[in-house]
Amino acid sequence: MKNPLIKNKQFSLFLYKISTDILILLLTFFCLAFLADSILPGIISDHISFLKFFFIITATTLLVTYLGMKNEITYSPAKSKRKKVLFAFLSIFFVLSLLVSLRKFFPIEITVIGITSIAIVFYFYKTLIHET
Amino acid sequence: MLTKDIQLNTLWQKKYHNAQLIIFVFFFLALSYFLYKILFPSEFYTYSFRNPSDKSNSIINVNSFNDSIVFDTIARENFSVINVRMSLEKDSSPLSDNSIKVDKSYLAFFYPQGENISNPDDFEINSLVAQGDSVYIVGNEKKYPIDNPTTFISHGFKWENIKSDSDIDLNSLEKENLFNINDPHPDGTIFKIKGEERYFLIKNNQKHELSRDALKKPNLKKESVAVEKNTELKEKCELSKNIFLSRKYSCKIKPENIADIAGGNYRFNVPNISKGNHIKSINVEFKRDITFENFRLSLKEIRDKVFLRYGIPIKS
Repeated sequence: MKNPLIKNKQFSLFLYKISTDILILLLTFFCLAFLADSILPGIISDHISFLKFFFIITATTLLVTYLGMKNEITYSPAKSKRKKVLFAFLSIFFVLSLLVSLRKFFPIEITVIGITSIAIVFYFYKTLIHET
Repeated sequence: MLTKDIQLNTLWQKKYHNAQLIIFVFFFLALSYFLYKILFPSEFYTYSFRNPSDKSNSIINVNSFNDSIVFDTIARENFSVINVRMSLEKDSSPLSDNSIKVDKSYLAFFYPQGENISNPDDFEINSLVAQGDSVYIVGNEKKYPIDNPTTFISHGFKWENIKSDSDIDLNSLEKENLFNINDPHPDGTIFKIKGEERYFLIKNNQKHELSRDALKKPNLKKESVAVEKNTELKEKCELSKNIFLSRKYSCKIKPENIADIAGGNYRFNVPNISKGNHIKSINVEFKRDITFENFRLSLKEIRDKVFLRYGIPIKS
């Protein structure tokens, strides 16, 4: 039996678009909150639970994925410019978090973690942008 | 945003724009509320007389005497309003002529006073010792690792009193649990009354005044933590009955007179409790009013915490 929620194609697309907007807002808020808490631990986590927030994001991501599959939505390689913006945003967030975290590490540890991180970012770049 | 290419018909596009607007307004309100919680913080403490051993009881040291109740809370910030609420059991007689008195100091300085000590060899005083990035309270064969700079400052310790671990062998000492903001000063702490030459030693949950001879002990004055005399209670409010709920009483205190007193421990004293008064619960809420002064105070505190965390000197 077909899910009554997605009987109406327009309604289903509407749900997909709005849940994607919610997901982006949640992710932006999460990144900023996480960064603020890295700089000053407790300033955010004293008020909200990051774990609950993570579950909300996961549930929203699953909903977006489900609706995307039902509506057979695919992204074309033409959208790689948007991915570059996303990559730049995530990279800035990643570097700032790393700088705050490595503040009191020994130089050798900073070197090892730094090289590993660069490798991960490079792999991430290849997966997200280069191969599309 | 990311779904610009997915087209809806006119009707659903309009619905989508309306839904987007609602979501943005909702997020804006949530963000505003969140900023309000950060900039105008509040702390809530509770105690249930029905379940004294309940883990959710955050009010500490609740003592019922013949005709009064005394209890403590530890507030982590400075607040401009304290709301105290008391609920009575159904079979309780109403409270009559009750005021609540509040004093503020360090938890350990509220300990009962024991005998005076005159011999400097009868006690050992604590020192602050740094090892790497950690700072320990060291004394009486024990070391207490301090969990963060906020705990250090909130206990009235001074950075200039920290010694290097090359002076003291820390490895031979018994390591205690992490010392946090709610812990009282341990045995071996010296308190000095501000503006007077009176010193007290904390030992076995008592404070002992030190006589002139005992003050000859090396470093005693330097290692002391300054406190105000807490012989008189400094703030008070009258409990008033709730208009709609007959068994609930509340009062509001503006702790202006005790705001600058060192220590984060508030001691509440409720006198004139009769045998017929059966208290169900007590709630204490510390709040910061929405004023421009408090807004500036919060921003300054956040800045100071960041500076403290990253070792940047704070210019007052």
